[in-house]
Formats: sequence, structure tokens, C-alpha cells
Amino acid sequence: MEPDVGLNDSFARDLLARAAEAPPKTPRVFYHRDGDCIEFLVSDEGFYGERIDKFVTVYHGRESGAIVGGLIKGVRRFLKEMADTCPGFEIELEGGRIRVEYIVTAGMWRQHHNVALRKYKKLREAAEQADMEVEIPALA
Amino acid sequence: MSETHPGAVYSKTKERRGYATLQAVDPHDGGQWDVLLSHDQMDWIAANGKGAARELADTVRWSLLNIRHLYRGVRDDDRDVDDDGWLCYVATPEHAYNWKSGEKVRSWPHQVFLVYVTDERVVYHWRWDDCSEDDPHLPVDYLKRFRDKVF
Repeated sequence: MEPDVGLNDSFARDLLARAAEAPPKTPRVFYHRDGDCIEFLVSDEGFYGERIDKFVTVYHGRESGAIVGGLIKGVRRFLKEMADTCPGFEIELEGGRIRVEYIVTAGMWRQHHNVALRKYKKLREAAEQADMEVEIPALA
Repeated sequence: MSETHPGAVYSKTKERRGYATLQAVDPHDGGQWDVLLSHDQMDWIAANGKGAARELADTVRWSLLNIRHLYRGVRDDDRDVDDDGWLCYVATPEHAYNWKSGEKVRSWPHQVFLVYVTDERVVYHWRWDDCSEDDPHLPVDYLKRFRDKVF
């Protein structure tokens, strides 16, 4: 018999009690300290992921088909690489905060496959329109 | 050596302040071990609404225990990697959740559910992803994405 879980134990009850009844605010962004990644969402619809490369996964909305967010991985390592190779990039990291489209752009400039570049560009447009910045605590 | 590597000395149980403990398939022996989920991430998921919260409470936890496959390591030919002990749990749950309505729905066709865990046994990401053309229980491009197949 397969191990089962449900929505009735204390973990689920606690989590569901915290979840808002109202539609979530958009856009929203979160830095995952443990995974060293940034997740951002510009819509309240569900999505599936499309891995573009090791750095970026694009989220496609299940209803709209539009890019509704993304996941940017290896953030601290990437920013260190940027600081080493492009010292001026550090000016974008004021107080440990960075605009999401800047980091997407920096990742895009390292990409050399045309299909991936187009997806990066769409992701950057979504990030620009959402006008988000995120704090990376280790850099503050 | 991280706890996720073969031959590592580790404990089945794990707790940390500021984290919830979940059960998952142990990559060492196929039994169960504890993994962690930060309260910060639970808050982030809760802020994404009832559908996202139900996905975590049900789909994520179910997938950690009912894997189709388990991979270790993220493959990257272009850069040095320091996450080669990270795990990816691959599952095909029978249902999913509509993020807007919170309703339980049939799972998405031709997609698999992935749950990622760091080498410190912290769950940090999950998502639906397209399946491979040659195996509906594996994610697309699985041969390029992971270093070792555990199960």
C-alpha cells in the first residue's frame, strides 16, 4: 500500500490556515535562502515550468499560456561571478537588493542559443513589467 | 561529504528550528527519512493562495514518498557545480490543484511533478514539468539534467 498524506493533519491545517482566501497579490517575489534561488510570479494562475538552462526556469500560465513567472537558480554564485568579471555590476546591488530584470538580463547575456535567448527576453519583459526587486540577505 | 551521498554517515531523523519536518524516500536504502521545509517558504506558499497551499500539503508531500524516480546532482557542463548532492524526486500524482480555485483536479497530461531537495535535506522547490517523449514518468531532457539516477 502506498504511503499516503492528506489535508487533515497538523501540517496541512496550519498551512491552509495561513493561506489567504483573497487572490494573492501580484507581482510577488521570494528569495529561497536554502536553495539560493529567486522565484517570482506575476499572476495568480497556476503554471508549469520549462527549464531553459541550469540558471533559469520559465513558468507558463496554465490558462493564459503567457510567461507568469520564473525561477533563477544559483543566485549568490552567479552574482559573485558577475562581480568578478564585470565589477561595475555591483552598483546594481544596492544594500543587497537587486531588480529582478537585471539578474535575468545578466543571465541572458551569457546565453548563446537563439531559442533560449528568446525565452530569456520574454522573461525579462515580464520581470520589467512587474517592476520587482528582491533582497539577497547574504549580500546585504 | 553531504548526507545525500552514498556511504554518508547520517540520521534518518532531522529537525531544525524554523523548519517543518516532512517524510521522504531515503536515497540510501529506499526507506524513509526526514527532510526539512522552512517556515519562510511555507509563508511564501501560503501567500500564493489555497491552491498552492494544498499543492504543498498534498502533492508535494505525496510525491516525496511515492516516487517514480529519484536523481542526485544537477548536471552542468559549462560551470563548476557545488550542488551535485542535491536531489530531485520525480512523481506522477493522479491529481493536482487549481491554483486559483483551490479545487482538486485531474493531474496535467504529459507532465511529471518534481520536488527538489538540497544536500542539507531542505526542500526548496517543486513544480510540474513536461515529461520526456520516451518515458511519461520522467521529465523532459532527463539525460541532460541530472548526474546520477538513485532509483
